[in-house]
Amino acid sequence: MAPTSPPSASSGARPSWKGVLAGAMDPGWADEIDLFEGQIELRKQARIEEKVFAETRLRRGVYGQRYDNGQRADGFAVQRLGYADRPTKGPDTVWDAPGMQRIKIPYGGVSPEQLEVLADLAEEYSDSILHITTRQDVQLHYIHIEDTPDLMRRLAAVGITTREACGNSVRNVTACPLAGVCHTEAFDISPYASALMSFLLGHPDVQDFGRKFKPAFSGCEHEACGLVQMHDAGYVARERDGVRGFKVVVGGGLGAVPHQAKVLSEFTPEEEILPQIQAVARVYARLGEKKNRGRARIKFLVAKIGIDEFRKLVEEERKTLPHDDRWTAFLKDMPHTGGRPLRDAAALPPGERPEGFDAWYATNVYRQRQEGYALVTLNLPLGDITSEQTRALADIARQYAGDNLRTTVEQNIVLRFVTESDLPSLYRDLLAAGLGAPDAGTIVDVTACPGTDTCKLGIAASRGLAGELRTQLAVKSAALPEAIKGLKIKISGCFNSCGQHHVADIGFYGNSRKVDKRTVPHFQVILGGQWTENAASYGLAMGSVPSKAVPQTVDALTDAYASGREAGESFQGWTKRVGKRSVREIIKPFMTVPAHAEDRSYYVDWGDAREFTIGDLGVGECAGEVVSLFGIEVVKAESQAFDAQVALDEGDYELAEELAYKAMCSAARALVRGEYIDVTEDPDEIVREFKARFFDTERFFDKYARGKFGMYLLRRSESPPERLDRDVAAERVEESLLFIEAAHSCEARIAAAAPAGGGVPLDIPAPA
Amino acid sequence: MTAQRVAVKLFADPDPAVPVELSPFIALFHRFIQEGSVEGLLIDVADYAHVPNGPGIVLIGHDVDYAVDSTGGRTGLLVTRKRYANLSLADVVRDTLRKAFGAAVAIEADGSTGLRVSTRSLVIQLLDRLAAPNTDEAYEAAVKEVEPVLREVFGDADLEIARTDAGDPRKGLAVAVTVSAAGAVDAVALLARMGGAQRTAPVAASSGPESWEISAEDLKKLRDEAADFVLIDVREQEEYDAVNLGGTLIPLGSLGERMGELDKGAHLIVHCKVGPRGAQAVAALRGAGFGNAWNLEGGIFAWIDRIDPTLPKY
Ligand code: HEM
Ligand code: SF4
Repeated sequence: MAPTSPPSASSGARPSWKGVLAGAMDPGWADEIDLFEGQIELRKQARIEEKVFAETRLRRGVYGQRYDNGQRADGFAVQRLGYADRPTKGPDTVWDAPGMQRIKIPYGGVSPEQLEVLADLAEEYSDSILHITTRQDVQLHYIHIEDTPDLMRRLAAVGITTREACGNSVRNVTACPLAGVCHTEAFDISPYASALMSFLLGHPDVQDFGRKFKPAFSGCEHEACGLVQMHDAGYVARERDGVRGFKVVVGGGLGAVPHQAKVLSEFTPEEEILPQIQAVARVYARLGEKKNRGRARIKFLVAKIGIDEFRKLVEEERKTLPHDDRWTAFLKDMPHTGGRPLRDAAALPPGERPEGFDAWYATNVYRQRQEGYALVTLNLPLGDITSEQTRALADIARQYAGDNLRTTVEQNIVLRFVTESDLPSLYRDLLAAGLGAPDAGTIVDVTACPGTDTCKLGIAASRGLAGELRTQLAVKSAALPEAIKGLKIKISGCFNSCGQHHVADIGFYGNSRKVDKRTVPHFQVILGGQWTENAASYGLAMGSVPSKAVPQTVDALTDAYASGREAGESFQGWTKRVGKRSVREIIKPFMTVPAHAEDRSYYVDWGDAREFTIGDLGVGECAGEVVSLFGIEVVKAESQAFDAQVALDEGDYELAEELAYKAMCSAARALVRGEYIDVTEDPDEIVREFKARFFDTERFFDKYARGKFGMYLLRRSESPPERLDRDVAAERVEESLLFIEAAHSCEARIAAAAPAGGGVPLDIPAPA
Repeated sequence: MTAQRVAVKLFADPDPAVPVELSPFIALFHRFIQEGSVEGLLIDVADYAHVPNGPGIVLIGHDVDYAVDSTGGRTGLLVTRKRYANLSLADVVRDTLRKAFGAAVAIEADGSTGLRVSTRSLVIQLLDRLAAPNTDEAYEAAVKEVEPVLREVFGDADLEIARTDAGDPRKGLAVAVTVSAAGAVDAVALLARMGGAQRTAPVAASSGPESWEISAEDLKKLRDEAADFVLIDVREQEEYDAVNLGGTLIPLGSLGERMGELDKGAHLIVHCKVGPRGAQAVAALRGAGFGNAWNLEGGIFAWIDRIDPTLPKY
């Protein structure tokens, strides 16, 4: 019974993975995959609507991908692809063109056997690169959708599912890679993360969410590893009177408007965590926003009804749940350490060391709680590792560490339970495989989301920039002062913050600015985010610098910090002490973009060769510098937004909220003035005009966010906040930054009303 | 043997152990996409320059990838045929070899990257662990099908055919081919022998004239963005007087003599009444080195129909 064999199997002569692996897969998973294969077939015959199919494939981790950096296909116009319906490159690529496959790795735990399968899949279906993501997943790119069922079967046969890796579902459960070997943890959270993941996978109560739901576990409160504060549901291990349990937080999240999670319970005993999350899921499914994606994450629900009300609802819901044996079944044979060592413990003996060993040891080796064992980090460049290297790593793991590998949210892989005396020979083997780079977890180890390389939402080349920074910093690494070396840089290609820029010392997210009639890639600088304490506070925006000026900006910031810091002062502490205004002065010189004629490199993004205009530009190329009215007006909005951040920082929430609202009004006014120059400064009039001219006409809308950013202003204008605390003020400040961003894009889209010729006058006489 | 995903790696010459500089390949591969310089439906360029001994820069296609690959510490041009078709292994290998030689010719003709490949040392990889596991039997079956193709391609030259990676069953099945110096010819000759021809921009079938078309909607967008381009109207004066979009009037007949007035670096968007004259003009302009000339698909009538119905038709 194979109603929908793939085209590759139709000849009959070809064996099929489905047949070969039939007995090796969990039967439930196997059915799921068959079902998906059937749906692909139906989609091909146009018997399923695209919308329905999209949700189906996203739920299985099959994402659309962008090509050729979208709009910039040839630096100017958009070239058609050779597919039947002649789509253009960029955001509109079609469902059956190569895309990305996300593979869920619960709490990052992978075995050598699984690594080998991943290596095979990358080689046979992708481009021989495995990419580790900021949520401990693995992604393969340029995958053909016809190949996904076999790909999933081969994963299923080694116990990996891609199910619910995307879509409005419970995403990968992340956890600290140190779990089980860490000095500060209360206990090893891995088995709990694993239990939560299998309990929720495909559970009927988690199928009706308005948006994605991301859980995370941490073994302790103070380190960074679990990042629980930025997750929809976060668990911090605690022991009370010999009973294991968790502090549980909900409603955190990064994305466009970041939220710190709120405490749902100070202590939930271990046997209660599964029923509790089930109750949370039911409340969220019932009350969470469904229509407006922009407000559908659980953080908005928690913010709206307040954590106390939310807790009450969860507790009531809990009482109504029918008993489920799985709630506690996993506790029966609970392992009490984070994996079994492969070899006996032994300290690192003194003696000869391979060249480079000491530097590598200093940054890449963590001595475990278990004496004589170490955790070793492989510093993967931008989270990428080849199939060859992956196989080599599997061999190395088998020899030195056994099953104990984890991916990390910093896009690296760690080997655990390495006997310390083996470290020198392990180092040699890693070097031979190209996996021995030092500087793990330092400023060199830059984290970056996929950005414009493959993500449809990307604005600037986060990976291109990360590669450049990594190269520049690696050269200097040995000479960098310790204080600088310990900083973290994280980069996102847009405000969605997949690169987790909010929690870095120095974070960036991509945006763009119209300069000299061209679009120039920029990055917003976010400083002083906190990585430790589970990402307990987010950085603040300082202004945008052109992509090409980011490396100099980083140098200037780190130099100023190294020379100006007080003993032991953190980067965050330093930015706080010297104040946002003086820090902004440091980056200000890098904010301007030279004219195109002066330096074209600014008009090309990192890792690209194409300019917005290519070739030699002759006379009459530019009709002269025209700074638009919008350009002048929007500066006011930007400085108000900046002052709002300062006020927020100083604890004046009322002022911060007010200034943020004003900033939105000013940005709206900047747009309105382009058409109605006499608009007053009265907020109500501005909002009225903005709504009529830009919102109701949808001219303010962009393709993905639609009216999301415009709503920020309208909502604030209609209902000023009743209570004012840090969260409300911080949310408004974030909203104002995004609103200004949206105003910039809106201006770029609609304004500058093209001159009649559509372009630039030539030196030839145009007929009247 | 039905393995269909097959890669051919042509090693760099003179020394594959010396890594090449990768950044020029980003520009080159983007140009290949624009000009259709190699076979396949080309869609993207992936930059893995940061990965040691990795795939380097990859020109991604729907059905075939081209990479400057350094896997195993040996640099070369890796060409991977990705899609299934019910072809024999011999046909698949023949097809992949032709694509590889075509790409080698295009890269060497361009010259900007400095990469030259040897046609005397190559590896054929069968990337299909189901149909072609790395076993003795599968190897023998594969060689039986591949050898005649190699004989046909390399003619009289002596061939040495060997199995690589036999020691690691996890790796894909791979056939290494060494061609003796006597009788060896360059990639241009091999390509010709296989019935391929060097592609000169911008003729490629997959990016024929219609690829240089831009829709009325895109033109509108570019105008709204105040993008930097020159609009050229290649109709006649009377037509222009009837209705125009404010472009510079250069009737098709006078384009040849007036080309000197135009800037080769500028973006040019050409339009006529419904499309064909514009396409001719763009072909002429591109042929003359105006690498950024585009034709408004459907001409001014498409604009009137879809963007501005208030304008009169004639
Ligand atoms: C097609 C590509 C992608 C799209 C369309 C996309 C979309 C988004 C959106 C819209 C958000 C904001 C959600 C919100 O909080 O409201 C987001 C957040 C996030 N995404 Fe992605 N994303 C993509 C790829 C990725 C990748 C490749 C990764 C991992 C490397 C990733 C990891 C994250 C993370 C960590 C966040 C932070 C939000 C949080 O945890 O609360 N995303 N993404
Ligand atoms: S931050 Fe933006 S560009 Fe980066 S992966 Fe997320 S959505 Fe894409």
